[in-house]
Amino acid sequence: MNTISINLLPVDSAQKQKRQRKFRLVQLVSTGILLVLIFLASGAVSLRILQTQNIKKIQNQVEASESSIVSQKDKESGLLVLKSRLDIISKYIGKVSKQVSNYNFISEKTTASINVSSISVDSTGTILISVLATNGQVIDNFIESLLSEEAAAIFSKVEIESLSRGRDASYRASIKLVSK
Amino acid sequence: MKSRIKEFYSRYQIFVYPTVIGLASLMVIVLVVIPQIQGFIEGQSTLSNTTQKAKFLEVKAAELSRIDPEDLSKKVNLAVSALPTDKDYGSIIGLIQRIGADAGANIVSLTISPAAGEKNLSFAVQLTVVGLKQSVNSMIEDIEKSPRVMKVSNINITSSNIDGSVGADFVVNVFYAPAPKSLGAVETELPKLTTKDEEILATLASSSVSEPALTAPSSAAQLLPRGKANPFQ
Repeated sequence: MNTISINLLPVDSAQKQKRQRKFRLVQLVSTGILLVLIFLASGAVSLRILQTQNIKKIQNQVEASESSIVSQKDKESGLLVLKSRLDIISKYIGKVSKQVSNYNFISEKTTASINVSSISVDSTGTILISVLATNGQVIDNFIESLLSEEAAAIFSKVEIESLSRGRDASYRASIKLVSK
Repeated sequence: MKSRIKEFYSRYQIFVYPTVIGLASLMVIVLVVIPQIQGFIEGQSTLSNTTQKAKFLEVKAAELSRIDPEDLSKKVNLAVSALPTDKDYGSIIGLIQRIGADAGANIVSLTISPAAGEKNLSFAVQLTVVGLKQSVNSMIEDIEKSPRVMKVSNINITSSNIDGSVGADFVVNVFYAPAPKSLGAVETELPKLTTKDEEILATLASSSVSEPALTAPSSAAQLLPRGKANPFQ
């Protein structure tokens, strides 16, 4: 059975109701967005407050540690002095200088049959030695010992500055050993 | 006027309401959300830096509290005896005389030349010594091995044919190092003693440098320079 429906409301009123519904929807969505934003803002502010509290807490710890360190400044300064001194001492202690090492080497090579008149070692480790021997073979052996591989590791050049035989049949030699 | 506004609003409320809400939202974003997020990001780096600093300082404070002050003082004394803060001519004269006497060499003359050597942190002592060759050699070795840091620089030895004795002139470089001027900030890392450092300290402790003649200052404050290094200048 067919029914007949007649809208008896005036056209103006129907349009007004439609506009109101549309407005309520817009109002709901807008208010929702604003509320979400307010929620986000309050969340951000809360996070900042928590973060600031954490920073303050850690800063207090830093201050406590700093005051503890300051109260132990004597120990720290002692340690700094000790370390700086040990760094310098380590360069020298237990190490024989080049000059003394070269001098010791040449002292070992001078046998009892060789009479050393003078030895001079300069600051570069270069040695000038004057020796005297009654036998030419002794001088030969001495010079040979200065040309050994062991000596070559220490000296870059061996110069015989003078070699002479005296009236008393003794041999005199003046030798320069240039340190590496 | 009021009725006109009311009428305007009722006519255009569908546009006015979202516009007002949009403006309010924009204000919330610009005035609250963005600054807070920026602050939070900056705060995170501050927090991270402060946390690192706190951990570092905590460790440093703990390390400092573990140091035995007496032991440290002994070690500082040993190091300062070996390498004094100033030239300390008096002690070096005494020490060289003792080394000479122990070696059996006779010191004929001793001359101190100020400010020789590298970076002016050493001075030269010129020695003229007479004695047996073994004594002079022993003296040179003892000077080199001396826990007071000094090294033989030049050697000039002439032997006498009469009694087998030798005359020796040598230059000894004696080292010193002024105390550090600043002791560093609180954030400066604490220097650590290595095994090599401990070995050096053991060597110094086993040597004769800590005899009364060479006693070192007991506190860092005493390490500061005491008047003129060279009384003749």
